[in-house]
Amino acid sequence: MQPDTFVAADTAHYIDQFAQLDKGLPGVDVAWFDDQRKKYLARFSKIGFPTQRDEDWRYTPLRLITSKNFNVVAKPDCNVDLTPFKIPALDSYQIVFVDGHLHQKQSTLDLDKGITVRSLAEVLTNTPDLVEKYFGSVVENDSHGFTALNGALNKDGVVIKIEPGVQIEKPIELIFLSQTEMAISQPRNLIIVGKNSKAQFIDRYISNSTAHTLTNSTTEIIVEQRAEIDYYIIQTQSSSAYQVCGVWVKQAAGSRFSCRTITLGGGLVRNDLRVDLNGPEAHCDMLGVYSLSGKQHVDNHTTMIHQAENCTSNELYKGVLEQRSRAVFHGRIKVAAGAQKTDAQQTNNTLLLSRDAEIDTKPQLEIYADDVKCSHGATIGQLNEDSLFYLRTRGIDEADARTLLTYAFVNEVLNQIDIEPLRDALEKTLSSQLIHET
Amino acid sequence: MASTEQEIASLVQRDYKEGFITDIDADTLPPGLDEDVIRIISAKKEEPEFLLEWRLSAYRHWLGMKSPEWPHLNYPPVEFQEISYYSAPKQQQLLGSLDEVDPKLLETYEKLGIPIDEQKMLAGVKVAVDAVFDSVSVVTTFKKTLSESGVIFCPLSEALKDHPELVKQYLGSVVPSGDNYYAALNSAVFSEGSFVYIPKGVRCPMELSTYFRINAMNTGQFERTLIIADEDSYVSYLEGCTAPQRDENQLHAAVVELIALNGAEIKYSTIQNWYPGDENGKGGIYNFVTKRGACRGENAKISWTQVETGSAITWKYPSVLLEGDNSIGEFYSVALTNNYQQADTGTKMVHIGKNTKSTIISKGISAGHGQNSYRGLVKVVKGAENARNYSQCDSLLMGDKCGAHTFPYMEVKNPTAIVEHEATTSRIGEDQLFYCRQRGLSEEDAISMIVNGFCKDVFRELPMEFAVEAQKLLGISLEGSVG
Repeated sequence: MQPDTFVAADTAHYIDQFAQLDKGLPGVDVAWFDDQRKKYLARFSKIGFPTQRDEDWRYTPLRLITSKNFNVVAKPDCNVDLTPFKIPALDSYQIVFVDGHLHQKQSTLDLDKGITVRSLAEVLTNTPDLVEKYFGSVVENDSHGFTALNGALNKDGVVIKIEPGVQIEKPIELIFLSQTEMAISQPRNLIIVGKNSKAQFIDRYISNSTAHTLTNSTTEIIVEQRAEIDYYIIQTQSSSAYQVCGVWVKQAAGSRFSCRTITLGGGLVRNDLRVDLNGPEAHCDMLGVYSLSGKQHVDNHTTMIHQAENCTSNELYKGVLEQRSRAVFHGRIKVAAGAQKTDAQQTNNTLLLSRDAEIDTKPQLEIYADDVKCSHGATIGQLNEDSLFYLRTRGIDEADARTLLTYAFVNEVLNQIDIEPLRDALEKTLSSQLIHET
Repeated sequence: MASTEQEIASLVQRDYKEGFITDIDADTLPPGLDEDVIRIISAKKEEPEFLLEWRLSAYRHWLGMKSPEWPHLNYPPVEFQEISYYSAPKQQQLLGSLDEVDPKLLETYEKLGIPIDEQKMLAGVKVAVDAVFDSVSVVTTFKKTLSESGVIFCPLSEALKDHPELVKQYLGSVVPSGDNYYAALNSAVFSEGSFVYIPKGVRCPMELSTYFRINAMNTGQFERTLIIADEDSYVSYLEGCTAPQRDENQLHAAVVELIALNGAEIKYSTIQNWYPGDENGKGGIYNFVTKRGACRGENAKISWTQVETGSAITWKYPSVLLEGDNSIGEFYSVALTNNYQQADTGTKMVHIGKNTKSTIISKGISAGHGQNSYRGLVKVVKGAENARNYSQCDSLLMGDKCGAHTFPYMEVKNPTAIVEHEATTSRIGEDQLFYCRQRGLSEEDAISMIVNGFCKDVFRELPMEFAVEAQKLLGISLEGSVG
């Protein structure tokens, strides 16, 4: 609980980068976009990076990020082989970003009718008016310094628009690869899903080396009436890679948004996920798994805002902490005045498997309406000795028994992944991580 | 459902019966706070030098601190220079018996229903009372009976004279003078409080109780309670509070320190019924209190039970530091906010020793425009093997203009810990009401029964007489609410 004594980070470095890049950043000729950029820069200069004095960051020391000067990569090396990262048997539309830049050759931008996938830089050059009313409409304006930094220094991102009534069979896979030493990638994404449409997205954050990198993404998602979205965030970067991942969602009446955040890698990962249920009878699922070892640190910060009547939400995060890893869970449910008949549930369960691991969990309910059913629960514990004993009596050795039980613990979330090849791949990765030594 | 809503409205509306003012000559310091004021308070109390120094260092520390802004509360800043820090009813010499107490004061306590006349007490319901009126203790009952078993129960100022070594050893040892903004303020200006010492192996023969009354205008009450339970002793301590009905906000910033040594048990119960302000949120007490107990020895146990129905604003977190191995901490709370009352209350359980256990049961009820927050911390430090915590925080909402919030924190650094937290928020179910009505209960009885049932887990932790009072307070006069 000791506040971080590290003095304000080197924000100057990034302000310098902005000065150097200014004319080279996309959308420089688009007045409203450039305006937004400058506002974000001003905000970043003012507030800088968060510190542990900020209530929302009290358990996450940022020294690893703020003590380094990451650089915007001018031209990424595109001779990269993505085969090792492929999810076997997964049939998807792939869009690939390398160090924050769209990789044209590896990306499928030409999708079926009714689906537009374009790079942000290209949209801003050719048809900026198309996105004007959406851009910055979902993300919180008073969010932390990382969001401001992304707003100021983003180089590219993806803009996806799905017309009303379109149902996409194949998932859209967004791959964000960080590979250059000291590179900062700041994708800025916008996804609009029209009425009655249906789509699946898989955001994958990967890194292919021991390079120190920072990925600081902001994704805004607009879910129109009765649209249905399955959204996956899969984080498997190496432990020298750091990530701040912001996903901001607005849901209209009758829509469904299911988010599954699976964190299996990354040295320091912070996820901000905020969903506003703005129309009646909308439903949101937030599921998450984190399995950490070494000195990994993951901070899941979720916000569920019930603004309208008759909405339901369900949140379940499960985590396994080994070695010196540390996890933070901060789940906030807010039910605004007038959001009657709300049903909101939230659960966080963590297995603490090592003497040196730490969990800090902070579920939070803020309720301003009376006809509601809200609950949250949190547990922190170990594997059940009786279950272990039972397995041992069946001839399973202790290490296997532990792996089996740990796996069963997180499987409650994993088995809710509907895309089979993805689930298989995650199960495999997870099983290999959960090999226990006794 | 219209009738139900009326029902709830009438249920939560009630007069504040304790809102009268006692007209008595008082020796009151003019408003304002500086080092001289602290010197005057210390001189009036004829305190030893070490305490004055302690007060002054707390004051200097306080000057450099900021009022906490993190609670989920909304109120204008407190003007510390407009408060008088000392007020005492005038009386000449030390009192030998109850006959010498100003009849007006006796009348006040009689009106409040506080038993300070030993003879008039019912046999079997023995409670020793320390009655604190503004800044001084008026009377402490049953002192003789208690001293026979070696129990010391007296005003803190008296303890300073008779047992300075005990006070010096323990005062500020659980809540240091610079602990937080209001604790620092209290350390600088505290004027009275109760002191309890239970010797080794003694089970205190009766319940001990302090009754706090704010009477004078524009005063703050800053009492400081210190309870020490020596090895293998037991004490149950009750605390009650009321204040007159006034339009200004009055400040009450108390500090309570509990110390339980090897095998000792302290049970601390509070019924807080400070004036809550009127139905428009005007007036009422700001109740900013620091309460903390330390289980210093093995197998020690500290249990907090609180029923918080009064105060315009409540800010308090009775906590337990579980230092000794096998020690136990408990927190049972019912907090009611009605009209424009706001409460941000909860507990901290810090697991330090091995095999420590803590239980937290919190029930919040919000009505009118009330805002009720639970805020709690369960912390398991690295060496705290086999720590166990169970927390349950339920909120009941009555009406669509109130709010109920839960902010639990869990920090665990030991893999042998088991920590569980549950929280629910709901209103009185229509089906629950229907079921009761169908069994022939009137609507008001049904609501009162459901509310009492909701709080049962906490009420049953209260000593008998207090439980009855608490139910009455909460059950909230139902007479004539059905037409």
